[in-house]
Amino acid sequence: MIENVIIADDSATARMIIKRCLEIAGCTDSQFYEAVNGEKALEIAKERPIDLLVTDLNMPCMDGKTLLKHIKASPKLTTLPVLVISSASNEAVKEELLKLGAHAVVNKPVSPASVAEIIQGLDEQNQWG
Amino acid sequence: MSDKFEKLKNALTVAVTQTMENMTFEEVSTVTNDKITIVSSGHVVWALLPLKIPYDGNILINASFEYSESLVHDVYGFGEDEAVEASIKDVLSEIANTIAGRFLGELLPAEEEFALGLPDYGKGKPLDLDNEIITINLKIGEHFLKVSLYGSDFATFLEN
Repeated sequence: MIENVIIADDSATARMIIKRCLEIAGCTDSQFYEAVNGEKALEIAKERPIDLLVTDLNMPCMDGKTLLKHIKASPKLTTLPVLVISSASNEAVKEELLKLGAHAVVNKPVSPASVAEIIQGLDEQNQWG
Repeated sequence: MSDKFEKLKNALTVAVTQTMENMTFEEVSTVTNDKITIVSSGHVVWALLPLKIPYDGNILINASFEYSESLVHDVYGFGEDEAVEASIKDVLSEIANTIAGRFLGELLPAEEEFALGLPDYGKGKPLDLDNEIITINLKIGEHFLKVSLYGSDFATFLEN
């Protein structure tokens, strides 16, 4: 079960929509931590156990790609599944992010169905132990 | 109409309808190219999203103040009396950003890179720019949303 989720996006609207999609996808009892950039998300991830990180790409201070690199380079955080949701990704960007260790990359506008599919996949893999 | 114009129009239509349906969970009932005037008892609000790579241009959305309040309600669940300016700005900016990304994703080959600029927001009169390429109007519930594509690069795209 996904207990703790970080949602990193500089738009409060995007964070709200992603949270609603996750709730519809089954994360009704999850604790959501919101971050306005990658730096804040990384801080939160280092402070407490996190089961899923959802991040945008284009953010001030630290973007989603840099955040992903930090997460995957950290021995403590490297197994944390990272879901990238962005309006600025194409197939080439997706491929690069997956190579960097992203669990999945989804284009905006995100739908509850696409999030549910990813959550189900994570559940089957039992990535959070 | 040329095939290229149809391609632009279809890409913009798909981007706008998918964005509105997924973000607001409301069905877009009508999409037209007819000229419409946004009627608002308050002011008209707009959000502008620059397109940077590979085409220089802009996506502009114009909406009535009442509709923008209703959008905030759809996204945040606030009562309309509580819809604050910051929330209206954020919702419209995110809609413009999502439409722009989806539009370029639909228009360009899968492997081609694209880049977007940062959103701008304003209120008062409807914003109008030079080099209008396409405007589409959506009827969502009782409201209209006007989405326009601007840019000389797109004019060149249509000519070549």
